[in-house]
Amino acid sequence: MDNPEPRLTLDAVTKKFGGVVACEDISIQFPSNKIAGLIGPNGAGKTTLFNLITGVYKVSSGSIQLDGVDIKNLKPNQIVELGITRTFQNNRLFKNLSLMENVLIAIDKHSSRLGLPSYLVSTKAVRVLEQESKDAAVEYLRLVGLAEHKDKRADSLPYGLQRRLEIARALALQPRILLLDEPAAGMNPEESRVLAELIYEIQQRFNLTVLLIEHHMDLVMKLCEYIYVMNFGRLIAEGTPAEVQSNQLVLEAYLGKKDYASN
Amino acid sequence: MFLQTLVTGLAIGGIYALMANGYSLIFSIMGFSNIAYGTIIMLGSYIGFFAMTRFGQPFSLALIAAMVGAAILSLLSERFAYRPLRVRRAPSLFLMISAMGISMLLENLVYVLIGGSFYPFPQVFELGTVSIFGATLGFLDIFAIIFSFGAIFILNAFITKTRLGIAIRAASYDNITAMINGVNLNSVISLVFIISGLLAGLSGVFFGMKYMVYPGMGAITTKAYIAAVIGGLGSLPGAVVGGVILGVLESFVSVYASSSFRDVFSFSLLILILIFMPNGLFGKEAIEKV
Amino acid sequence: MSVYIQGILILGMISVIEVTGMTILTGFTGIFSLGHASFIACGAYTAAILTKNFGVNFYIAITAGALLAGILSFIIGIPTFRAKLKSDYFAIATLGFGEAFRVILEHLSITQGARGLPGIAQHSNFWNVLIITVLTILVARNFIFSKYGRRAIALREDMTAAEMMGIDVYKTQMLSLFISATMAGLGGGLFAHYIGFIQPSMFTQMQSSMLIISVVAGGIGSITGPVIAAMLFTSIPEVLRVANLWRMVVYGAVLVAVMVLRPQGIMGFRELRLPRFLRKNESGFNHG
Repeated sequence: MDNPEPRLTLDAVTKKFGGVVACEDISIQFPSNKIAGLIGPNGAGKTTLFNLITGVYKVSSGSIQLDGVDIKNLKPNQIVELGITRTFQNNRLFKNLSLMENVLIAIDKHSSRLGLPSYLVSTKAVRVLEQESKDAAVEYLRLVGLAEHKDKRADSLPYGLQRRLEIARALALQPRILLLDEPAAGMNPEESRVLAELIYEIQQRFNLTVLLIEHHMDLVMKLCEYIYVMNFGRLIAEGTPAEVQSNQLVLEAYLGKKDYASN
Repeated sequence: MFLQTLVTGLAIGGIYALMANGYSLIFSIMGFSNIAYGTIIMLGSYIGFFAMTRFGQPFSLALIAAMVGAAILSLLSERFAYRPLRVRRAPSLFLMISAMGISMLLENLVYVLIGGSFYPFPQVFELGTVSIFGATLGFLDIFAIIFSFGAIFILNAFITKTRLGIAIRAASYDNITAMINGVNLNSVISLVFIISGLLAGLSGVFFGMKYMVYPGMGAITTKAYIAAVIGGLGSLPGAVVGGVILGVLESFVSVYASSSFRDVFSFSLLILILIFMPNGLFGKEAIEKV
Repeated sequence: MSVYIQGILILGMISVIEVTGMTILTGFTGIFSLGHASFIACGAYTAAILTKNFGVNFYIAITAGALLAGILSFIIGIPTFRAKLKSDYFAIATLGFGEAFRVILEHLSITQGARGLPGIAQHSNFWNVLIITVLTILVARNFIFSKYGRRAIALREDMTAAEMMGIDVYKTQMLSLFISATMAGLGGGLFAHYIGFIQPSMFTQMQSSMLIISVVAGGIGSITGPVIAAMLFTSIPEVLRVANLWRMVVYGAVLVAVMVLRPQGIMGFRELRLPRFLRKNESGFNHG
């Protein structure tokens, strides 16, 4: 990567839907090449923040900068171009396609050497390139442990494996920053432990900046070096896992869920 | 001349507004464009026409027959062509294709069974005219205005004041939430199809009187769709405003420019509105949940 | 082969060419157009006027017709796709566009208005139509199995997720519309030079609907399905000599029945396996 240390900065970011304020005055400088967590009760505005960073929603005010350049007016695909990719809270796979094809679509972004006319007549070069892409796709599937299912339809996978496929697809885009929206949702403790290992391995291997939203506190506390806490659209605390766990505001936000915080 | 054109425009606009209401009601609750609606309007027109000519009924009974008949057809189309897809949560594209099938089926059935001739509606309102401020206004236009705006008034009262009307509005905001709150979605949707069928019968009869009765008249009701889009699909006040705007503009284009380019004008207007204000004048902006 | 059967086959193949374009747009990109008759008309009129009035070579003329139809698609595609019209709004916009285009054809002098253009030389024959049809299907197949085709399919599956894969939605939609319009225009040019006479009333919304019916009945996400459907829908009524109007009644019923009973169509998301040439390597877009 030409820029190994991406600097993602939010400056007073606010998002309103009509009269409802979903995110208010959020300023964050995300740590580069580390795993950071974003936690908070349901409806705190975490996913909205992801949607703002990835350009799915437009910010109402404030700015989002990557390496000092404002990206708030870019389209989602342009933001992907800059190296930010994500997974979704609810799986958004290409359901009718095979696992291989799901990953191929991501790989295609980096295989733009040949133009449409060569593809329409299917030249030799095209066929060679296609084979390379397929090999690469299998590599990404192997990474998340899905290589043997490559020809199955995406929607035939059990839920937990679908989440892994989403991660493979996001990785195939060769991001610098990876946003994971509740990757362990619906998983049992054992599955989420295995997932945590996978996320750690991926972060190390590609030297990624990872930002993850998660409700499984044990996973967050174990994986994340730094944690941001949101409630009612505001950032109420940040710090290391230990700092956050002893923060009074955080405990109040999770009132009734204290057992989580003490895990 | 100006006043006369305006009144003609209002008369056509009133009919457009009626039809647009029917379209919009269905769109607001089902989230798809029922392109078979024009065909139901056409059939309503035929029912009214035959009730008068073949069975010698007075206009009032013919009008009721047209409305009831169109409502039944509308209800049946929902039961057979849309409900199975809705239950399966099929994409709106599929509902639209199904509507296209209904439209082809019924329209061509009319061609086969009745033929493609244009029938003039029997004279109900004598060809009389009234003169106001030096303009000559046709009785038919005036009656069309009274009937269509009267119907719109009643519909509006029904939707805003009655329990059933409130259930319809609730379901149009959010099908699932309405269901959780005890709204029987199936009956509400049936009701919506009945109401839009009644409107179709009414507008079909007036449309037939204004022009003629023929199998292809459903295509002209595409204009109603344009009216609904101008007002914002799913919005009833929008449908009324859109209908009136379109009717008046069209009648001015016909008179002051060229009647043959009236349709090009309407379709260009449709495309422009879609591009520059896709939610129309009163439509709500949809925020996709991610 | 008798002239009669050849005639049916030629019309069938022309409809296959047009339907193949629609397959790319509707079956693989998930975009619903009700105005494709305008692209067919554009190809037909352009090619016919070029050969008839300017003595242009037939093959150059049909190519020009196809390209002009493609260019015409930018007029409706650029503004509507830029405005991010959702599927039904786009369909309605194309419906308006198709109708407006037909009215314009009725009033232009070069198209001789509603009376139509007679006396177009009969250049289309069984063999050249056959070759063009096969080439069209091959190009469509190559497109769909290419990265461009995968982008289109990604849009059909989930537009937001597709954007997150770095796909430019606007460019991808426009490319699919362009290709499908070009194929429709090509079909139009061949049609004009087979029938010998064209007039605006041949290119109504009904023609656009026929293309959709073949795609839907043949199966969304399949090339072979719609190709077979197009061939059947053109030839069966001819062979059985069913009255045209009853045929339309039946088509309407078929459309509703397919949506209600088997929305994936005859061949949804699958290809006929026999013609191996339609499959590419081991992992095509085939899901049995």
